[in-house]
Amino acid sequence: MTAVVLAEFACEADFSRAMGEAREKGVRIVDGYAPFLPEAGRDPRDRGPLLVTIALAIAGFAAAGGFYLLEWWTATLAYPFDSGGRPANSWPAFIMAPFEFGVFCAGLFGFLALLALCGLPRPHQGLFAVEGAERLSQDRYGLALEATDAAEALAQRAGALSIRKAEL
Amino acid sequence: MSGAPATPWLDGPVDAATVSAEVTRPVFARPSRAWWIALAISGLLSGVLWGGIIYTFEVGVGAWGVNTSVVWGFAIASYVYWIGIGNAGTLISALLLITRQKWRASVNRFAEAMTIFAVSIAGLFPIIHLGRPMYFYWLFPYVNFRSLWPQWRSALIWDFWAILSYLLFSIIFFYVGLIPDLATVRDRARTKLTARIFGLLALGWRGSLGHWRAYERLVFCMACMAVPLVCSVHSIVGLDFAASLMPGWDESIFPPYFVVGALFSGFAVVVLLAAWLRPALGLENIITARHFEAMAKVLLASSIVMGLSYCTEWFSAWYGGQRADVQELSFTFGGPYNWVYFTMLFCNVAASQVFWMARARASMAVLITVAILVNIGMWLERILIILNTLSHGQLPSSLRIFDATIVDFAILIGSFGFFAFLMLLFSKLVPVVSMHDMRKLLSQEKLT
Repeated sequence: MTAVVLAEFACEADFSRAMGEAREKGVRIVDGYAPFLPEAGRDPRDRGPLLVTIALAIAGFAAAGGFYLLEWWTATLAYPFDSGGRPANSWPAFIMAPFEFGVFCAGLFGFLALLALCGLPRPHQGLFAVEGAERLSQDRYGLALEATDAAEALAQRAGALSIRKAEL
Repeated sequence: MSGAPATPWLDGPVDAATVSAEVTRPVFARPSRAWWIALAISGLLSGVLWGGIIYTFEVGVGAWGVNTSVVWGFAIASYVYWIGIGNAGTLISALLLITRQKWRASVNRFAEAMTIFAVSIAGLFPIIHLGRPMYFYWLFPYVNFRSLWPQWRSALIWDFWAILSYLLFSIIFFYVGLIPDLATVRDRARTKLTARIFGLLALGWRGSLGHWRAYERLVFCMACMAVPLVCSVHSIVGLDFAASLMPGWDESIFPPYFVVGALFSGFAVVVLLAAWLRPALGLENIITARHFEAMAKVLLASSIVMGLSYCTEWFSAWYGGQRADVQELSFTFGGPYNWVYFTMLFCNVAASQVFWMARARASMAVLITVAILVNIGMWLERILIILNTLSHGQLPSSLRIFDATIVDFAILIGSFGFFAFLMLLFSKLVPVVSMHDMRKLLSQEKLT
């Protein structure tokens, strides 16, 4: 648990300004909350998106490769039979099912990677206990700054609607 | 609508708060009497579908109009039709996302729901069509004491994996897109039970910036994978026909022709769904006349491609010089199903040409009429692909006409009822418009 100052903003512009100022003045941003991903929320240093992509790619290629191996093994070793003179390992015909299965597995593991990265499912968490937090999924923006006097002053200057102390 | 348009894709004074309020209202409100009546009617029709299926299981496929020549009847035509509808939902959502089309936000959610329901219904047809449906699991490569494995070279096996993978992928794509909106419903819930149910479904989503960054990447990657997946799924359905040696089927144009047909019929269903949801749920500010105009233009473009595909089919049959193909073509234009074929051409090619006129694109009555005609035409196209080839075949001795039975019609009509039943439940249980995408649109237009 981290003690934070949770500043609530009515509009994206105030939220973005507060984030920019916090970065500029070295006030530690613990987290930010918004009802969609605002431009100010993009962070090229965040490795989360890359990890999702990697998980998704590895799962997709592994599943497709594994499926092809299954086809190869069943068609050439376990149950070989002559189908109109076609080769046992008819690779052009064997590509379709691995592709479909690979895409499904990529989607599934991408989703699981998202859950793992976000620490979900987690139905109960500190933020939900903060008064007014329910607006953060609708039309408000929240900035959680490390609890210091400077953070509180920054939030006030940026035009926060409310400033609350919380444990996240 | 009063007030100046807030953005080209929204009407009236809309902001993030009104989006949340308007879209979640149907989830919390008591269902209207019209909704209950519609649910009852569609529920009855669903009963007709399941009754027809149970009767088929009891009696066998002899209850249908199929015969020794026309071995595929309504079931396979309906399968191709519903798969087409299903493919279009994800294709629309994914393509519009990748191409950064701002009007996606208003239509993607119910288009994706349409996919899941349509593909689920489509999946029923090949199973009930099997003479011994209880053995459908033989398509799956499971370890068995006879050491038998599936025939991987068969287009029907590709079909099984394509539909199964596509359905599961679409469910994940739909659910991922829904999570932030489930959190909004949780946070607006008026009762503890509603908050708890939606809280569990939202998995504890709190809209953290880190969550959003990973989320956006996942949705984009899934959209990029969805486009080739959708094209491959309906191409494989086309290969069910094209991989055979039957006149009229053995054509390399089938895979792309099927994909365009899927997009065409699917867009027509999206038009119908939008025309229903807009007034029924009070979403006039969010689903606007401009959305309908954009969809009308897509229908027009698709109808032209469909017309070109038909012309290519005729030309290939004539220019190829194969006697069976030429005979099949003359059977199409002069045989017993020719009136169905001309109806299909009218519905699929001629009807949409009305959208060259701006007034037609702005008229809901015209849009709805054309969308219905397109769907009739696309179903007729699928049944004709089967009937014209199988009734005719390679030999004169195979000439047999298909006579649909009441069970065929019961299952066909029932499938539409079941689809409507599922869509009605969807419209009541979850937000039908993607709220977080709408908020992003508002932000891009600097209206938050």
